Amino acid sequence: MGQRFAYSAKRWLYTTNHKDIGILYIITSLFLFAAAGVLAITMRTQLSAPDNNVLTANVYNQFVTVHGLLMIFWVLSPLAFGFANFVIPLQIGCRDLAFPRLNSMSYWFFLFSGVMMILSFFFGAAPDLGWTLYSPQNTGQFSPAIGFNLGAGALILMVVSITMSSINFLVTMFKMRAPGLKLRYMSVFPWAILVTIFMMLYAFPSFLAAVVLLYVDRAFGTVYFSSIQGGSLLWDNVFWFFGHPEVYIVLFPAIGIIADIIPTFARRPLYGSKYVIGSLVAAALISFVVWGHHMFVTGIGIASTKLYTVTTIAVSLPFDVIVISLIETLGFAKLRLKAPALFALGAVANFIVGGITGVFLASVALDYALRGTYFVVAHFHYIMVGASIIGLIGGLYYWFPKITGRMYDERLAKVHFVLSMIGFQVLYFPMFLLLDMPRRIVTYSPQTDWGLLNLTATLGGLIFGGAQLLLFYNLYRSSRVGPPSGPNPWDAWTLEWALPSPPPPHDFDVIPTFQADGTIRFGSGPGLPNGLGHSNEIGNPNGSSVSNKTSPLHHEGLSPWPVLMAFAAFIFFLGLTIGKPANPQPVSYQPFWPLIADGVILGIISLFGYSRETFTVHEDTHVESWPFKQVPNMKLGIWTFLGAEVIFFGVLIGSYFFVRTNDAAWPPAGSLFEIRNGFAMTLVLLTSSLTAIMALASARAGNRNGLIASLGGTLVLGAAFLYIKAGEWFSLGASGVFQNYSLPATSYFITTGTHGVHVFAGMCMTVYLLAKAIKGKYLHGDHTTLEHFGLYWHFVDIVWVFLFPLFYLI
Amino acid sequence: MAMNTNYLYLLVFAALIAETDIEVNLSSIIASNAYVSVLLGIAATKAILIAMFYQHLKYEPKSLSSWVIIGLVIASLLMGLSFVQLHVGHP
Repeated sequence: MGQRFAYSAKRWLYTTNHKDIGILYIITSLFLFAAAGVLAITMRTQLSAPDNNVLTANVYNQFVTVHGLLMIFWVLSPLAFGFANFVIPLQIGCRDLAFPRLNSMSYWFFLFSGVMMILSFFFGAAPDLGWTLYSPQNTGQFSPAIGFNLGAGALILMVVSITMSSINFLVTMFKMRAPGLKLRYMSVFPWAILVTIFMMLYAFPSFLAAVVLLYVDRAFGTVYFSSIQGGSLLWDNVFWFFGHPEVYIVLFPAIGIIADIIPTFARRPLYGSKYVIGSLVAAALISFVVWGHHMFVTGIGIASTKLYTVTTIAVSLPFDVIVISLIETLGFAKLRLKAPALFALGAVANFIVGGITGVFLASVALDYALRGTYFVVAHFHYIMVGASIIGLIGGLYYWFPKITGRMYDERLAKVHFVLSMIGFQVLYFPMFLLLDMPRRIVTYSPQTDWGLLNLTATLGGLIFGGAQLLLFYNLYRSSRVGPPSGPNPWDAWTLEWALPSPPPPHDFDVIPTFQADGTIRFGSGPGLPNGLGHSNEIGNPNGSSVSNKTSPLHHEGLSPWPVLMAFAAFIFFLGLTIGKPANPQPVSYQPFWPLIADGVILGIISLFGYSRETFTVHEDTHVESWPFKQVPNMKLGIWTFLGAEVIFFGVLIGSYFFVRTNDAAWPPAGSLFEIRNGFAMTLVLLTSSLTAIMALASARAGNRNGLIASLGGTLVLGAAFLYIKAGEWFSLGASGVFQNYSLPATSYFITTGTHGVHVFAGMCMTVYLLAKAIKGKYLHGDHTTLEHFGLYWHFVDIVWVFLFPLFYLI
Repeated sequence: MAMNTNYLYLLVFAALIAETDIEVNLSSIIASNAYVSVLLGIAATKAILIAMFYQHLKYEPKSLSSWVIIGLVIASLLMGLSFVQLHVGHP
């Protein structure tokens, strides 16, 4: 028994298998769904009657905020990516994600970030100003609780997790599709995930930059968000630039699931599937230019309000196409009303209501009237809960047999659906009528006529919340005693259904091939429909399902380092955020150094173990990998990471521009930061780029001494750069610049500091490479690691190429 | 071949240093209105040189260059539209 438990614990802690990690994501997000639900029910109880005092205003505000943050970041996306983890490799015909250990690390970062967010309740107060964390309330002056810092740390860890995940999925989906599976042949769910990841990759770095700026403001007393020149408008921009794509990030996977479920249960191909995919891509692109509609009342110029009105209306058009396609698919279909289909249909109905009410808010005049009211709360809950959660629950029932190999209780699932839909409408529809009730108020006077509608909404909340207990019960019980489901209980067409339920650890004995005639072939076996429903023949893939024997390619794939690295990051951030306030004014924090030290030590040990571990990932060459056929997986991963870094530094530099062009009293060039320092650092860093590229050239030429000398030179030059930078900081510190930050000092401190951290990280990599080079590595054609390091180092150099003129010459 | 490549790297390095030198001395050459634009233009050419020759984008498939450019376009959108909010269309 003890041995079995130890094996089980080891498996789940160390697993790198995409299906295990998918299950971990799904279970964790369901637990957090329950936690966020309890917060919501408590809030609704408080609002059920006028002058109620179930919660104090302080606690209510924390509940509102953490409920929103948990649902958006720790429930909706992770649940979707639980499915994506489990299903996408099966659907595109590969054995795992491109970087399995990175996948494991993403999960553990996600888990620890969620723990950290919940811990924030126990350190003074959790974040308490709504999920948008608006400035200037988010500054230390107005929200001094240490719990807020903890929340910021949790968000940083969560974005790190998401960035790792995005890179992994993008490389996998671009580079590891089964032979013949061209992008245009993928069904809508993989497309929805691909487009979602694209948005995640470019939207989340903006949020990361925003939270980093906020954390530094709070911890070190810089003034980005407490100054008039930056302040609320700067926060609005960097937050909503991420925030609006985020709405689609949580919605698109549900749309993908619905678009897989409806054709399966209607027994018809998706009507206009190419247009649906095109619409997803179009909406994703437009989503990056609509963020200003959240800022209509902030005093942005009239040109901007016009622009954002147009783009906001434009972004609704692709969704019209998607809804019409889904409805057309249902036309004259003999629909099998199983639970997944019911939830999919319910999600579409809710989405129509949520979508149309969103278009109202594109109008500046209506937005002025409705902004900040319960109308908006109703609108976005129709999208977030009505479409996303309901759609994702459809996915839960749909893939439950595939994941567990057992069927759920269909009757219970239907009761769950009916209660969920009734509860949902009773909960949220009254909020549309609460046009004049401000959101985020803790109570209201009996003189208002809001009492009855609020009471109704609370009753709806209880029904909706209670219905979810049926879901948990059904899933738990059926996973233990449900009848065996067989490989394909729905007669579905996508590739995962051709495998046994649950699929074997290695997924495929033979990698399938997608044929030009619309079939999928395993070796010399018979062809199966390719999942798009283009073939008229609805085949029975069961007969051709892959056997359950263990492939020689399968390895256990266990690694302890991802969970340890994530834990190291967790305690490091805990140490960084739970310190005591050092100065009351401006509020700044003294970190808790013992925890930080522990985190650093454990991080170094894990990194060392990670790099020394033999963990082979097979990179198949006979796969579909357009448009990056000639680019190796790791190189594409590095470039994708650098793409995210471009946005991160773009936001930092953009924030500098924002406050600079908004501040008439900026000191002239050379008066605050000495040009000769900047010039010297530029020369040093450019020279280090030369030595870095010479190291690669030496490795290619088999020149050991040249390699060691070049890497050593890069290390010394990196150290020299930081030495000059540190000297400049000490000199500025001695002159009092950091005591009372001005905006020039704030922007300089944060931007060059962040860049300095990147230089330091590059130096750590150089030490590793140098040690390996001294032992004779990289000289025999195995120099790709050097090349990848070079990509990073040169990027850091490029960033400085812009920082130098911006801070020293302008 | 290796010799040629090393020569190219040195040539790029020389160009980067020369451009940096021009940047530092630019204020004495260019009138104030165009100064910032020219300075950022020089920085952009330096970045392009590094990306093309040190990061080898010049020799990579176009799809990879396009992938990198997407990030730059999105970052520029954020900066550009934020600038418009602040400075365009106000009475």
